[in-house]
Amino acid sequence: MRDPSSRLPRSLSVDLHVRQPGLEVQAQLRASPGRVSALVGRLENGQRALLEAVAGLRPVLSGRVALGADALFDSRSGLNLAPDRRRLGWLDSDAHLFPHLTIKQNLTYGARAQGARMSISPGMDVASLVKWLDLGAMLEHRPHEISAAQRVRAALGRALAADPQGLLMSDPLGRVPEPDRPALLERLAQVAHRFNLPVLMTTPRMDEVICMADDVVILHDGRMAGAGPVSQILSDVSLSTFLEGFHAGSILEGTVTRHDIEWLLSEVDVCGQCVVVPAALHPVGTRVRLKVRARDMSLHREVPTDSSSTNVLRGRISQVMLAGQSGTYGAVSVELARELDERLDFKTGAQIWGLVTRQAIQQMNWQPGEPCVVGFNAMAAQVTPLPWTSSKRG
Amino acid sequence: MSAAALSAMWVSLQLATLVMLIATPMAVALAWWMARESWPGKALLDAVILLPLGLPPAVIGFWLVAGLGEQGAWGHWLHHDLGWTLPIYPIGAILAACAMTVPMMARMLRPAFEALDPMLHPVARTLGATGWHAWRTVALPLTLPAIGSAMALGFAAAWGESGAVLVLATAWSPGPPRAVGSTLPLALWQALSEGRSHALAWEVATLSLVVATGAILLSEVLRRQWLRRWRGHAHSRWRGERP
Repeated sequence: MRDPSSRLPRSLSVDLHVRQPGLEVQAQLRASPGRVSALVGRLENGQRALLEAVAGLRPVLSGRVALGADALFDSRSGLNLAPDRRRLGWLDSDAHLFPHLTIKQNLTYGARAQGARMSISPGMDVASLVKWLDLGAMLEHRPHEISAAQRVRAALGRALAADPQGLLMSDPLGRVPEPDRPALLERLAQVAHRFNLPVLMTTPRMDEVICMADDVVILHDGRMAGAGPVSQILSDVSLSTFLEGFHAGSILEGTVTRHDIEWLLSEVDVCGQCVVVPAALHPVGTRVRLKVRARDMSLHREVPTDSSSTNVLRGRISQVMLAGQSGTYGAVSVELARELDERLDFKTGAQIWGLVTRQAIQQMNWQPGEPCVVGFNAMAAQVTPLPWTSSKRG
Repeated sequence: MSAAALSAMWVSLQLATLVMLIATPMAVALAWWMARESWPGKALLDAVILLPLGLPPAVIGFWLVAGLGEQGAWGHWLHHDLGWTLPIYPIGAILAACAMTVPMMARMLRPAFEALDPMLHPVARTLGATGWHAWRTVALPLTLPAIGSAMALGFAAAWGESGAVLVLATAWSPGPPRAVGSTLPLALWQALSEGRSHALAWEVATLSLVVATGAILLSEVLRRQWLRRWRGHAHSRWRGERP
């Protein structure tokens, strides 16, 4: 029997050194209950190997994995719990549903497997899972009869029905066709909060990180190149460029404050400044992330009067650096001013950066510390709701 | 049908059934283990396991005699210290037939285990299943037709195994084997070597043919069933879009 206290949600902390052919991976990351930590790299850089090691599916060189204060793996004390005793759910792009079982039998596999040993049934309510994941119509079907997106949903249901203490997702949408992704992504983004689980994930697509993750750890050549909150790390000039290249840019977090019915626009409050974006269907009060590409930014000394840039954000230049081959262009970082509204506490302050030519930098003579205005078109902002603040959650 | 032929058939049937029952778990365990991830030196061990397939059965019989016979290294110890001599029937014959059957069945089962999605077992473990429970509820049902197919072929092989048993029988009791405890091939050999009725030889040969045909047909049917099942799954795994 399990200790009842072990059912309390606990955070998952990982500090591992893993070897895979041609690469040694070393990383620390941590996820609290209800939070998602994403492990990303430009290529498959040992992220999956690390998650497998956390689940206990791969040998580890050294390190420690712990749920709260209880170690699941500790190379120093020689502790190494088997995967079935770690109770960390696994979800990856191939779903790996059991092909000889129906979806219903797949969903109840964990309960049966654990019941065989512990004679208690897990606390997760399968019926509500079926409803939430919209699996009702396919319960009697076998995995090969349903679509890839449905298989991922079923695999997610199967992992959750086993009453896990944490969830590990390795590129869960990798094999889902493009049109099916947004709906599935929305559900995946709700999992951590809805089930109050710590979640570790990897994905090669940054829009999924922006949609799902709270914190992000960047791996390069098996080492950590950066770690921190998504809006901070993915707004960092070098990390963002490293990860996204042409699409590099900044992440701004804000709250939907108003919808403009006449022009079909929405207003988002970022650090007390107003950003206008194309009408988003997220209710007022929803926390959103705005992704703006650095190459879509324009820099001004004064608020431009005759410009198509709907958005003008005031701030102060924090850094100017030349980039590209022989410095053909430069990245200008701007620390956004926090206006009037101080209730939004951005401990790190919101950063936004733009790519401008070296010529523009020289002609305008931009220097760190100078006040400036960043302009961008409403259409340049990509809006992603943070799922746990959306009123749609149920 | 003569009593000699019937008796030989009965002995062969018992032997083949026993060998099949003993060899199957061993072959399944071996095949599962061989299909798992590789490590340095595993190829060598794989080769050793499969070695009996490449050796003349008579050599296996010879080694059994050399090892476990009264004059053999272990046989000597068994005989003198434990007062036990390896009898040709049933234990000697079973050992000889198993030595030939297990590698064959393992080789046959290996692709079945290799074709399994290697993540199924680990995923079952993450859902809370112990290693044995996961194996029993995932790997076993998925490879059952292949195991059935291998069992049928193993039965046929044990039924037809003659080389090793023949050498054993010759080494134990030079001269023609006793009527009791002689399998079908032995009975055939006996009938021919004594220059007795060819009728017995014909009976024995026909019986062998019938049983072997049945077993091999069964094996093929099960193999096809496994193949169809596996192809269905493999196809769907990569398809991606809606059916």
